[in-house]
Amino acid sequence: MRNNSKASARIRRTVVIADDEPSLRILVRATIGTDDYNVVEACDGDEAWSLIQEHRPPVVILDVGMPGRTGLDILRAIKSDPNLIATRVILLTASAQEADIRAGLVAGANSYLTKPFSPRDLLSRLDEALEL
Amino acid sequence: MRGLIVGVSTAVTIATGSPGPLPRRWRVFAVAAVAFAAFLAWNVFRVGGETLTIGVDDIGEAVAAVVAALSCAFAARRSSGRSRLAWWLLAASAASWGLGQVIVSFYEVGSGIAVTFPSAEDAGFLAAMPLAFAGVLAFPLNPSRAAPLTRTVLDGGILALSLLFVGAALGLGNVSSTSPGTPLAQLVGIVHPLGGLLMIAIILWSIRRAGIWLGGPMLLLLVGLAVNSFPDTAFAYWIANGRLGMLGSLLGAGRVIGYLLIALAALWPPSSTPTPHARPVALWQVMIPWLGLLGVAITAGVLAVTGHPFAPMLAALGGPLALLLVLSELQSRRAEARFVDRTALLDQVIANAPIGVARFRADMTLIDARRRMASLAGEGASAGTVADLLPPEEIPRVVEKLQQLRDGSVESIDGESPGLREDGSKGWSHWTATTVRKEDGSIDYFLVMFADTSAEHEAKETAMANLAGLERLSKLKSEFVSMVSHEFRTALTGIQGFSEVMRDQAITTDEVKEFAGDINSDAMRLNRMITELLDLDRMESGRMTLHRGPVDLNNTVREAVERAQVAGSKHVIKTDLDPALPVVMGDADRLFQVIANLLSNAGKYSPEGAEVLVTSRVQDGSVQISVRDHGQGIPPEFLDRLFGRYERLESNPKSKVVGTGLGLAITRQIVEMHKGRIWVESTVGVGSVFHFMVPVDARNEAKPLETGEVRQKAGLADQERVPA
Repeated sequence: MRNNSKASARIRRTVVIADDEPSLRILVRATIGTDDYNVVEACDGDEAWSLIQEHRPPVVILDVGMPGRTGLDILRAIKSDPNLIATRVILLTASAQEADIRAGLVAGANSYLTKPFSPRDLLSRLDEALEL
Repeated sequence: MRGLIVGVSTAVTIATGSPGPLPRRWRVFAVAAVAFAAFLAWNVFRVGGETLTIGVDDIGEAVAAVVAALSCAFAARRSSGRSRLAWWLLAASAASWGLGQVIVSFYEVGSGIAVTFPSAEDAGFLAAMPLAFAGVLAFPLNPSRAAPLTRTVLDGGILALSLLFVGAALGLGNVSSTSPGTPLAQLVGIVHPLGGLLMIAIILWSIRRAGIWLGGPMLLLLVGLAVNSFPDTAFAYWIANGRLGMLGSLLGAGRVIGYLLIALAALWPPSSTPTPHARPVALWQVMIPWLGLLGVAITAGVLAVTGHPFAPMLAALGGPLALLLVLSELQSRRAEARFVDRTALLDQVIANAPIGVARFRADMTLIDARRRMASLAGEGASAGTVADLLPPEEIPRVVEKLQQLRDGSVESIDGESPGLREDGSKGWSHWTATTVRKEDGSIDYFLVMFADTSAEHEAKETAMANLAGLERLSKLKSEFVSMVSHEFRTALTGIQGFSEVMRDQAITTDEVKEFAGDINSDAMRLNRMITELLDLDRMESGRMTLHRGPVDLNNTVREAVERAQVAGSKHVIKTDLDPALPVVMGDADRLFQVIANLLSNAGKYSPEGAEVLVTSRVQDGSVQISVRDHGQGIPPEFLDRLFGRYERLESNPKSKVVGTGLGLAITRQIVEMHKGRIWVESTVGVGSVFHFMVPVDARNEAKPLETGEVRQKAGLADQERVPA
């Protein structure tokens, strides 16, 4: 956050958070929703996809296990859309299953977090993703 | 003469191998055969004048005998076991005869002294005969089952007596009476033809009992011995009938031929292939003794017709012959009885064994079948082929397997196939097919035995099904564990995350309240799931006790509906309650939990705003509560698994349903603890009706309770403690 404070002074970066759990969306907003970031919430995959296309955010935080299109589906859609070539993806998963994580990384996720996670970790992943 | 030369030259050609390379092991035999043929030709056609021929005639027998003795000794040295002994005995026999001949020839040819009868020649003969008998008998001619020892001994006796009878009828006995001289000379005279006859009897007997291939050397040997012995008998016959004349030298030639044949037999190269297996004695072999008897009968008939008197000797021979016949007949009757017994036993075994037996030709058509088991293919299929015993889809596989038998790559094969029963139903049979070959090695038929293994198969299939069930349960269990941990992690995410935000960040009082509320609801969610897990575990292990009391289920329904509406249900919940509902004995908290679970379930699987109807009725002494929703419905194949521990309907991926999925399992446990029953009726796309009934308590049925007496307690959804 501090690393980007200079840049963010000029531009508020948009982050799309897609998760079907309202409390998790609130948590993400509480964690990163400062002046630096403009947090856009989606409660399922379809909503997430339309918001992503609308905002073309630099970072997207996707829950893997969502109703409708899953996080992995959205991830693949982002990776195959030339307009979203600069969009970084952080995956959230509660299953902690190696197969899911591997599938996510293979599909092109920049990093992942397993639930429960520390908000600090989320921030550092966000920073890493934006530095890339 | 010309023909002979051609024959000899042909033999030489063969011996020297012009047409093609003769195998090395045959060269000695071939050279000997050519030499013997030349010697014989010289002897018979009297090449070089009478005098020389007469001289050669006398020397010839000696030379032939000595050659035979040496050849037999050679054969003995390269043989082993009983063959070795046999060849040595034959060598000694030939040597004995040859020695007598050499002595006589020395005097007659060399010194010109006429030798009187009996002479060294006869002494040599007397010694040679028994040695030759022993030699032939020493050859290993394995008795087979069809030619047991007793039987062959009896046959030998019959043969010998028959030949003696015929010989005596021909007047051999007259030799002694007609020949002049001392009693010793007379005795020796009679021994000559007797010895010849015995030799012929022994030869015929050997052929009778030969269990091995009677080929090559054995045939040469027996023919040689026969040719050798015949002159003695014929000579005696001619002497007895006073007709000996120019034939004398031919008899000598016969002996020469005999010994040369024996020598050739001895020089026959040892077989490179192993001795063929013992074969059953052929019919013609068994008939040999009876041919002897036929000779006796014909002789007797001729004697009777010609009015020839029966000599006392003939009568004396008749008695033992008849005795042997009786014994032989007894023996064959016994053998027959044993055979019948064995056949009967075999029939019994096949008829009662739990197997079917069938024979198939090489083209797979059925020869005959004996099927004990009614469960296997019936007699109706007897006329067909292999295909009639099998279901159509199995035929190619079995035929392919049997192909290995047909091409001879294997002798026996087995397999497991579905078979057709008489009534057309399918069963399983384990079958074994074995090739039975003819003597020439070609396939005679296939012997197929099959046992009904349907029961084993069913057991195996049941076991497989059980295993599949266990595997499915195990898979469900691990899915359940992963699902529960997923739910736990989701709840923990809020608790951990919000508490960290509250600890680390400067936040407003409103935010504190909001975050604390989120933490609280996540904690309650965790608690609820743990409670469900523990509840179900306790119920299933029978460790949960009910706090029984009178319960008015109408009241419980109303409370549950109210609670659902307070909790923010997005459905229209209606009730249709029977006002005359009797009370039931039960645990009010638990029954509340049942209705709450059913309502929650109805809500989870119904679209927002849909109607949910709860009704209460009295039915057959029970109170029945039904919850009807207008949700997605439950597929029929899922209905019987619905109340299982690890089941959750996720046919629609769009609907994310939270929770452990234990709700209905817990519900069923509670209902069953109340001796009640729970079931569901559902139509996909229309909705589901969950019913449960709890029996009305007999003691309280008569008097409905006052409303105030009904225990009213908060439902589990509201509880924050783990119920005891």
